[in-house]
Amino acid sequence: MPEMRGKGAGRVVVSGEHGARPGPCGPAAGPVLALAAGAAGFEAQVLQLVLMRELLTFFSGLEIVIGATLSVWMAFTAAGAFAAGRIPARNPAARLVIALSAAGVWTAVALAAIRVSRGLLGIESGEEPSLPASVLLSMIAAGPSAAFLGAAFPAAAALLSGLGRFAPGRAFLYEAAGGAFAGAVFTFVMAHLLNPFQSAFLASGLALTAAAAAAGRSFRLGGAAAALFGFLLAVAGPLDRATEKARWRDWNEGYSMEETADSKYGRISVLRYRDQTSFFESGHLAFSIPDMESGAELAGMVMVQHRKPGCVLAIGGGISGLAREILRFPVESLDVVELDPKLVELAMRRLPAEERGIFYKPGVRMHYADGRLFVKRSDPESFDLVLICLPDPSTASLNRFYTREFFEEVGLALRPGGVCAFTLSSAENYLGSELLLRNGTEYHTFLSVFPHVRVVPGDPAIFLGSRDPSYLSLDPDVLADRLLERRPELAGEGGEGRHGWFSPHHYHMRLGSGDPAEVNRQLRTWPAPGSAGEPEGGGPRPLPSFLSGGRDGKDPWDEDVPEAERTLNSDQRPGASLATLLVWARKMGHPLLADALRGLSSLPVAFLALPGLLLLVPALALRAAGRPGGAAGWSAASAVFAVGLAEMVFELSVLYSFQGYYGYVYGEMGFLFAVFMAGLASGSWVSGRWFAERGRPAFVPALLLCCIAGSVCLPWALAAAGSAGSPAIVLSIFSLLTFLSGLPVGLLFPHASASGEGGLGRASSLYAADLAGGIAGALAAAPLLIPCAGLSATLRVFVPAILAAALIAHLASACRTPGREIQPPPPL
Amino acid sequence: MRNAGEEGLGSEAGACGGCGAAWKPLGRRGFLKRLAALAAGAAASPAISALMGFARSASASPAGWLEVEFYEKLKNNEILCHVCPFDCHLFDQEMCRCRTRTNLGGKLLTPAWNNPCIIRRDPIEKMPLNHFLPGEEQVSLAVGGCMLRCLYCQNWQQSQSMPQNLKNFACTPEDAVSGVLKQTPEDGAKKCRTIGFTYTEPIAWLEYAKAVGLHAKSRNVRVAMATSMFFKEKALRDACKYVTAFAAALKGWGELFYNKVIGTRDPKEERGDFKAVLKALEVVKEEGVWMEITNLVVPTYNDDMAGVKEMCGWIAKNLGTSVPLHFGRFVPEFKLKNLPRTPVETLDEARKIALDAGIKYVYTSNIAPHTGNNTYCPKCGEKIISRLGFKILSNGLRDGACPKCGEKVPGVWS
Ligand code: SF4
Ligand code: SF4
Repeated sequence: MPEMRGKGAGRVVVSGEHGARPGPCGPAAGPVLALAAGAAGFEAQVLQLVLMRELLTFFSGLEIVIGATLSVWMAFTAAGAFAAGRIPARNPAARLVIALSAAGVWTAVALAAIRVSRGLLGIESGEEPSLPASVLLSMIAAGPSAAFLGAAFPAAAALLSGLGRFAPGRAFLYEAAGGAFAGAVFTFVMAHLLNPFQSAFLASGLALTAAAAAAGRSFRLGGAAAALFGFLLAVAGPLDRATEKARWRDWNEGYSMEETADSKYGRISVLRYRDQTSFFESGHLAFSIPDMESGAELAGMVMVQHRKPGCVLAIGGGISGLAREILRFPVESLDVVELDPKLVELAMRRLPAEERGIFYKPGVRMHYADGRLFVKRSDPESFDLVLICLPDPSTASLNRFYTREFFEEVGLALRPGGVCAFTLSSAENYLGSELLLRNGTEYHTFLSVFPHVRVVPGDPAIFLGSRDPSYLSLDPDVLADRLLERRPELAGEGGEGRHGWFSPHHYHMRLGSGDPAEVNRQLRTWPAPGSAGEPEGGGPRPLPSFLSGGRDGKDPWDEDVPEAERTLNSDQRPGASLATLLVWARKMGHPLLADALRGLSSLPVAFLALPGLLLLVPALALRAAGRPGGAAGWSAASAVFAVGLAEMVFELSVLYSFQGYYGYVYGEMGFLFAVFMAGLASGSWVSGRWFAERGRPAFVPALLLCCIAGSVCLPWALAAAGSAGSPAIVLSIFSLLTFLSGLPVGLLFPHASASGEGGLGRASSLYAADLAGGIAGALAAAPLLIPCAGLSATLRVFVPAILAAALIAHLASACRTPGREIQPPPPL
Repeated sequence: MRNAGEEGLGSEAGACGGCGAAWKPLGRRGFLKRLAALAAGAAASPAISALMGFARSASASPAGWLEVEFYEKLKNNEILCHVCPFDCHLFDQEMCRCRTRTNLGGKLLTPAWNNPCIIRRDPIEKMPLNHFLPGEEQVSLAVGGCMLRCLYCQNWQQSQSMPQNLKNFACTPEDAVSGVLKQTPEDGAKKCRTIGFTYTEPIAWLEYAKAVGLHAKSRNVRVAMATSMFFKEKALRDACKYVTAFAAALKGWGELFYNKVIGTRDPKEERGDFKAVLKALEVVKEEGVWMEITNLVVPTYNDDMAGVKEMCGWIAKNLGTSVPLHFGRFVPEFKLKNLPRTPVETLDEARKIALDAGIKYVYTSNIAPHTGNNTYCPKCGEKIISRLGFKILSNGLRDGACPKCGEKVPGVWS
């Protein structure tokens, strides 16, 4: 069995003949060791996915929280790898078994802890958790699992120490391959068939069995651990049910949990309270039934904004009453698009028979699809009315329904005189800077496609857009007349609700008080200084005209839009998701976070050079101190960090664009992640082969240059991919780009880990550097840079770091100790 | 003694002006500060935010700030505020929970003066007030700030901010009152002869409310106040001199609910008390000012029917059976976005309990249509005023009495 003796020697030192010492079952064969390392990657991937899904449910989450959690995960993995690489291990197989077991057990504990933690963290029933609570929970719950899995990496590398200095590269390769496999298996099999505990235990059990097979002397230990996980697998069902119940006891005290189910879009929970059933998806309240009013009010407001809405498309909201209410109007056809068939199935089972029946009426079609994809594939001029009833653009995937590109697609699908409507959370009385930024951005994005826009104020606000200049109206009397024309049965309705919840009086309730014109004026003039839409911080607002007994001369929608600097919400620059984040930060009482986000979004471009400088300064210091070994180590770490950063930015950018072009990415996430890991593994494999032939001094600079070239070419490649007609081709091209995103680190890591002194400690540091680059990329790219600066600018963010790494590599090579021979590795 | 309020802050502002510093594009220092802000922001707890809020207020100009009425000066420039039951003990330069009062050099000052962030026309029923000039409208005013932290606050943008950080109108009491007087009905427009303080907590800006209220009274304009009733007795008795009607919240029943959901217990100081709300309701009754009670029914928090029964019993006994009671429907808002709406069944049950307890006028709000929107005669059961939410559909009231049996209906009808 291979054995690593400390790091004193500065490299991996192997006892025995190429590390293959006979165990009770004979010498461990190469493939078995490879399998053990791959199994570690498999377990790591599955545990990460189950924990992330669980945390997502807890946070009911925003991108920044997801980004923060991902970063916490990578930071702990890096710390685990870094620390374990510095602790001498006499028995790496035993260490691998212990690390994998500990990760599996802790993950189960963490899953249970996440479910019951709301009470412990002082989060009240139904309350959204704050950012500190979320980060704290991620650290406590997911951190140790990540650290144990990080510690498994040096153990796996040591297990392969028969390969000498190439062991870390190989461990990286096998781990990546295991991760790729896990991504695919989890997406297509485990997420559908197993609960989170079962997935975690199964992955741990499989990994341990492989580790046990490779363990030689530690066979018994590994076998026992595998048996333990087998037992745990058997009790995972009751454990899941018990903790799920406990979660909802805490979450919505007093509610009884009727059912939970996993779909490929998240975990669905059905809760009952008195006569009401509520559906939560990934911890987020999706809707409740019976709900007589939400759908009725939306349909009532929107269906009278078109002269004759014959063909209607409803994206979202259909199952919770919108379809029922639209069908009270005389329509020819109604297409309802819902994303998650599982959620619909669970709701359908609980709807009264009469309401279920409407989905089987002639002309009514239910589609399970991504709404954006559905619109994109619709024939031109198919609909009179498109109604979008989705949550706020708090994530990149939701933001796709609020971009200029999407509105343009809707515009194509609308017939002449067609109307598009969507809802957005707002406030009835006062729009603070953040809400004004988000809703103002949306107003002008909408206006850039539909020249006539009206907003029904309230929470949620209803945005109405059309190319027909003459029909949209916010006059309650006009709307009431139109309603009575279309639904004569409502004549004489005195608020008894005989024909549904909505009546002509509701227009007066919603539009008759306050000042709808003023809200429209605010949004239309935002953010022009001195206008009604000037954000907080400017001079006082002019007193409303009604106070002086007068009326405004012109309606705001007839006024010219004042000149002001505005950035529209687009696929390439999803500003509305950042603005939603700012609204959330203000709501949760994080004004500093809001200020910081705002500050960061206005940073000059020159500050993107900062990561490069941070890499360069220690390199210069080490050189000045005359420490060539340190300089070489820093050089390798800098290169890995910079490429790790580039890799994460590439990956996130590709995912971002893919969502825009292809559709909701949650379901394909595991698959794309598998493709990415496959890229990583392939790069690693090629690097091993290529490097085996001869050392190539130009390798690192060439690779760094390729990354820069990638940053220039990728925006074009993404645009070209998006313009491909067939979704299959789009998916293929994006898969290829995802694969290519994984290549650079795969290529670099084995090279960097094999080409210097320092052994396992160095390899662990490089592993940590890769993850640190990933953390920087994950934190910066998704929640901040893409929304603030756009995709193209984000793709250039790592260029200074890459240039710095190239410079450092050059400086280090100038003072390299001569005479070091690079030996080819044993065959793979 | 140095008067920090006038000299310290003034000189700070002067220093800036003196050096002629203007805002510049972000430099290295600015960048580092922003980075630091990001780091701090990521971990920002409400405590840090509050601290920073204080720092901001302390560096703001006190020009146009007004001295608060109900407070006591202590030694070392410390003060004790007696506007609400928190009884804040504020050190020099310290800002209070309500974000509208700051001790500047031993003087309690407020920036909530002539700067409402909301001015709009609303139906009076929206307060909710169903027995007060039905069918008329009011000019609603709100200034930023509130000393409470209701987890479901619909108006969190204003209530959880300092007034000076909002986008405000410049509106003096004279502007507000003369504005109401200009609201003459024309072509079927509704009468408007009331000013309503609503959308945030007027106790947090009581000085402005009082000035507007007194001016309104002198011009025969009515004043309605929607409030949490988290009042100290003296300040409340004073308010009763200019308020014509209170839409008074009894947000739940019991200390636990108030501490958990409303934030009536200052975590640091262990002050604040649910019983103060009950006392305040009794004071209004004693003062003979018109009052209607609102109770927002929040699922699982305050919808335990035993608690509702106890609450209704207390109202009937201490405030009388003629005080109208409104059960409001909760909708997911602010920090309780993941709590579903109140089931209709719960509202029905609460209403029934209140009627059984003898309360004569029990309403349901935030849901329309609903039987509980209407006013029924407690004697003969006649539907006297028919409403859809806050819209009056028909009003059969004759001289403040039931058109069928003549039973007098309490309220302010003209
Ligand atoms: S919170 Fe209450 S006691 Fe404290 S300063 Fe404000 S009004 Fe006065
Ligand atoms: S008292 Fe009113 S304004 Fe203050 S937090 Fe509660 S609901 Fe909001």
